[in-house]
Amino acid sequence: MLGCNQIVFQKNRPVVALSFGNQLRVLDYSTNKEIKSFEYDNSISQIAFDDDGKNFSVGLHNKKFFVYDHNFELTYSDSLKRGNPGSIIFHPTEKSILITDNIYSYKIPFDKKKEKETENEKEKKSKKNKPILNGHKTELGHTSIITQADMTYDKIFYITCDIARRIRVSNFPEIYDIHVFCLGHTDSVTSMAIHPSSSEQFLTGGGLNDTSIILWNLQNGEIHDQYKFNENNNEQYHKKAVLELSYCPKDPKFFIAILKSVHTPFLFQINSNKKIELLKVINITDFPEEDEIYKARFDQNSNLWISFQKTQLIKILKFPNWEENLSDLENYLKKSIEYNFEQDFVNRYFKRENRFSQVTLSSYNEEDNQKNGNDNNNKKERKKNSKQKWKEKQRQKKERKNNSKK
Amino acid sequence: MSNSKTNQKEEIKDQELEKEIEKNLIEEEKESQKENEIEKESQKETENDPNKKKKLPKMTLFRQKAHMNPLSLRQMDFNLPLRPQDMNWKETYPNMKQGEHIDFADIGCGYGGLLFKLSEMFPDNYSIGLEIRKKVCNYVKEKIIALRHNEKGKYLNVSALQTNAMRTLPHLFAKSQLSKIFFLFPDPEFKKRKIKWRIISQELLAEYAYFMKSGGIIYTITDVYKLHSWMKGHLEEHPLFTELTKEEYQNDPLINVISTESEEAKRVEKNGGTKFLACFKRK
Repeated sequence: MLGCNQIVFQKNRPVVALSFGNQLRVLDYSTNKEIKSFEYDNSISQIAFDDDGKNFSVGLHNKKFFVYDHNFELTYSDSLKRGNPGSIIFHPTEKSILITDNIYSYKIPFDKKKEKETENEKEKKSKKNKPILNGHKTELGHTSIITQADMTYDKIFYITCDIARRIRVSNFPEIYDIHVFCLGHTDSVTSMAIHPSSSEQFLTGGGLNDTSIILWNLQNGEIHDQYKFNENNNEQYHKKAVLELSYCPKDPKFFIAILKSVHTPFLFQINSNKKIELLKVINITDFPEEDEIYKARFDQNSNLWISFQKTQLIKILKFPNWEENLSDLENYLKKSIEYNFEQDFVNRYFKRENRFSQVTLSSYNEEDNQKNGNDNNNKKERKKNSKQKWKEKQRQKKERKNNSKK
Repeated sequence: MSNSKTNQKEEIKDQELEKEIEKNLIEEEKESQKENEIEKESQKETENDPNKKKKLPKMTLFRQKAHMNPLSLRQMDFNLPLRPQDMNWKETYPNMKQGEHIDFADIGCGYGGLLFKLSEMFPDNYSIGLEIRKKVCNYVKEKIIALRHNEKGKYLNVSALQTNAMRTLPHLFAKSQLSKIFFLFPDPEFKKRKIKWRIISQELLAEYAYFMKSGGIIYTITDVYKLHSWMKGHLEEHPLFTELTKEEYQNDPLINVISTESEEAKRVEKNGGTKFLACFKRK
């Protein structure tokens, strides 16, 4: 059985969208009533709401994505060519979407319906030197996989993070114009959180070899403060990636951080001097066995929603008392969901979902060095081995010919 | 029966050939080692004596294969500091003062033909050459050391660095620092799956525009018409770059330098090929 892999809230109304594998539920959590439910062919990778609440989009793991109306009717569907959709954002003024592929991010309008290609358009696409790739217009491109992409609340800056420890802040309507590069992480950037009311700071969390949280100054690209989990050779949180970061919307001095395979979320506070302090380590009662936390997000009413990898539970904790507030949602969800997956599908699903938190730079170098013997001293041995292999192949060919003749 | 005898004879011949090949390899390695040792001894003598002149390094000893994958994650950790403010340039530029910074960058400098001409034409500006191949970069570094020893007071504003320009540029340069960038005879990756290895693409042009001042110029030149149309098309579509006018093409003294000074340009002249220019200005 699989747990919830996406929790997305709407800004104006108390509406939440939950996804369990290939099923999607849109609920109103003030009255505990279901608005709509969907079912797809493949598992869901990303959900996004519009700020006004009029549009809604879903991305799947077979490179497809859909756009819906405020009445949840299909208006546009298309597929990407390079990889699964990573993050979906709605344009504030035009009717278009900003979608990230593995390396590129595109701007796709969903106003017009897809017409059949005319002959002129086919001729243009056949030219190999045309800079438009895959049929969609590329706005931005990194040289390695993009992990996070988001916009500030002002809609002035567009921020993207990738595996090569690089954070790029670019101006919004003109994305080809870069504002600043933020450099400070020593490993891949796995999580990001954007301040809900000011465009001067934002948070990022590092990967395996760099379990730290950094508070950035957006205008300069400099560091306000950095919090390291492994100070003073404390090996309690060694080699654990920072999976989730989220601000509390009512009081954005506080935020929550979650590490991979650690059963306790951490509560932090930002001082007036812009320094990070650890306030509390939260213990969850009745933690399910052999399970891990997967997602944690804050509500518009400042409740914390926590989801797990293998069970279908969603725990809701109230801030700031942290008393468990189990609503009727839990019972509702347990009854209505029943599905069976094959074991192969489950293994593939977990590999895709946990992909970014397991990738580091050093892992590539260590494994490759062990496989190929990448030192300069072994070049002579490799040359000899390659010659011997080539000659053995030729001898085997001759033996086959002789055996066939006999 | 006859087949088995011929097989035995062939096997004996193969084994003999192997031994001969190994002997030749060992002899060649010993000879090259001796040459290197002799050169190092001669250099050690000249280090202490300013009157003796150093020999310039030979290009034949520093050959390396031309094509490397710039997108592999193995070629990312070059032990550079994270921010450009923490970079220490005094080891390479001994006369650099506070407030001065690098002005010209040659991406894919090769054997460094352009750099030595730039140091003569612009003695007040600093220039750097970025190269991804190790042996070729070592050649340029040794040549700079030899030239600085032979002619005192010159060539102090040039250096070479071994990096991958696609990934490590934000670690080296700050916003709007450079005034000129050179791309001389880059690799035309013809295959479809290798188009992402090309040094100029729509995504990387945004980064080059970030590092350049307003009024800075990009110089590109190639041998291959397909690459020329690719680069020119991308630069025209990017809204931050405009092409130079005809007057600016004639008045700029660097355009003759580009087409004649580097080693690749000399090779093109020998073979009788045509050169295609595309120079753009940043707004």
